Amino acid sequence: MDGNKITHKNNIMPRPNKSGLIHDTSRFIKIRLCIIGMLVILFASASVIIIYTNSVNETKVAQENTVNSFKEEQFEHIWSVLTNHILVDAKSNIAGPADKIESQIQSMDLTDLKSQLDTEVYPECLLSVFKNNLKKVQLNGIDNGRNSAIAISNDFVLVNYGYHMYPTDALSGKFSDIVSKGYNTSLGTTALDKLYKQDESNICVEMTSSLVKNHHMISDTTKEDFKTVYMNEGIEGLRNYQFLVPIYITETGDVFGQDDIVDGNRIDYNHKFVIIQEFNLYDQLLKGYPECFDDSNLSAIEQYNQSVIQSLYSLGLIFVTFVVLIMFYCISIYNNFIYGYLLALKKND
Amino acid sequence: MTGSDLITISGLLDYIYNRFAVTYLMCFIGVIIGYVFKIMYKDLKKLGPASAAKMALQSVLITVILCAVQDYASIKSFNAYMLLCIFMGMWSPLIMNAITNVKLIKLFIVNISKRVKDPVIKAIGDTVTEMNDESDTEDKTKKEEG
Repeated sequence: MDGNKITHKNNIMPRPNKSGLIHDTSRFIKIRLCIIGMLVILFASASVIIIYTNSVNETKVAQENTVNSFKEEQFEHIWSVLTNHILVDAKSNIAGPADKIESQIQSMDLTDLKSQLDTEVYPECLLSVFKNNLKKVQLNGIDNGRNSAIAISNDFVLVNYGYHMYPTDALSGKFSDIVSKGYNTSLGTTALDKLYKQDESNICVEMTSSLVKNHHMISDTTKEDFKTVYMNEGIEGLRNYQFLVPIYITETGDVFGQDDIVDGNRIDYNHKFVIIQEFNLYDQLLKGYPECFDDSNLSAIEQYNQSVIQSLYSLGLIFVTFVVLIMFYCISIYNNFIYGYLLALKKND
Repeated sequence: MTGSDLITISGLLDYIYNRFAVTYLMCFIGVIIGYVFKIMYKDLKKLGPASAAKMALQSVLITVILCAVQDYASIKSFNAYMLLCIFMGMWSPLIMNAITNVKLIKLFIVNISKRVKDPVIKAIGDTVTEMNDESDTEDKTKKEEG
């Protein structure tokens, strides 16, 4: 090897001698050069592919972030519609009938009524007050049984017009039993807890199963809970949420003067009537706020993103094919040198 | 083209490029690096010319194995996955030897068949008894009708 190097230094072109040794050495150098070249190409193409694929994946993540931020904006709009409009409308929609019910009950013989209620007998005259006042109560005129009124007292259902959700007959059962038989039991438990503790926050139940695959089951009604559902499942994920907006007769006790809180402790039993305006969020958005369903911008963004990603993948595939072909070419060049080298060695032998 | 079509095509391209093509290329690079190491430590005379087809086949085999591993274990770090591809490519001759080793494969098949044998025999027995029961009931009904 050293002798050959000296020959290279002294002569610009290696010349074959009688034994052909220099000729072999030049071929050997060519093989080494070919291998080095191949390695350079290999490392360069590997680096390029790794960088390119990383950048494609980052582009994908960036696109997902764009879509998510768009969805977040849409959810913020839905949430503001819910809190600023629909819940306010529901409260005002049920407030009128509740006032009427309270005044009509006050005009009845309260002593007689109380004695009947104490024995858990709900007289027809009382039930007719609820029926007459709540029969036509529908939020924003949506008559599908999901936007109607319910009246309960001591967990007994007095009147129920939410006929798609619960049994229709009066005194058909305990409200807690009905809610706990629903699809999302943990949300139902939270709803009952909030309802009977007169919690000011949103009360919501999910009685029927969702059509969305792997539907996220929330256990509370915070903004973050609904946001999680919306971000993962879109507007279809919110389809079965029934919001309950209660009005209590009366706010601090019952019509017979029994307070809810006695000596700082909440009592378990009195004849408080709870009038509930229930509404389905999906129905209300569909009727009053159709812009919440307008996903044309989102689908345009998604289509654009998909086409960009497809072009990047296609380019990557072309590059990979090109690199693989170069590899095959390099191997064939290497093999040519090897054949030459082996032939020269044979000649030497 | 609708949005769902685009998503389907993107998913397909994602699999072809992100999983198969990149894995194949990296495995191929690994195989070549492995071969270069061979050249460094072995006599060129004995080694002879490189077989491109053999290298390509080895890369395909390792790619299939790695794609299955990625589906099963989902390696999150892309760079770590690339390194794994290159290393697996470098060790591909050993893996090929293991796969083509008749003794090893026999042992594997025997073990698998031992595990599968009992449930399969039981299932076959159940089906046969079910079929017998069905034919008996059919005969009975025919006799009753007759």
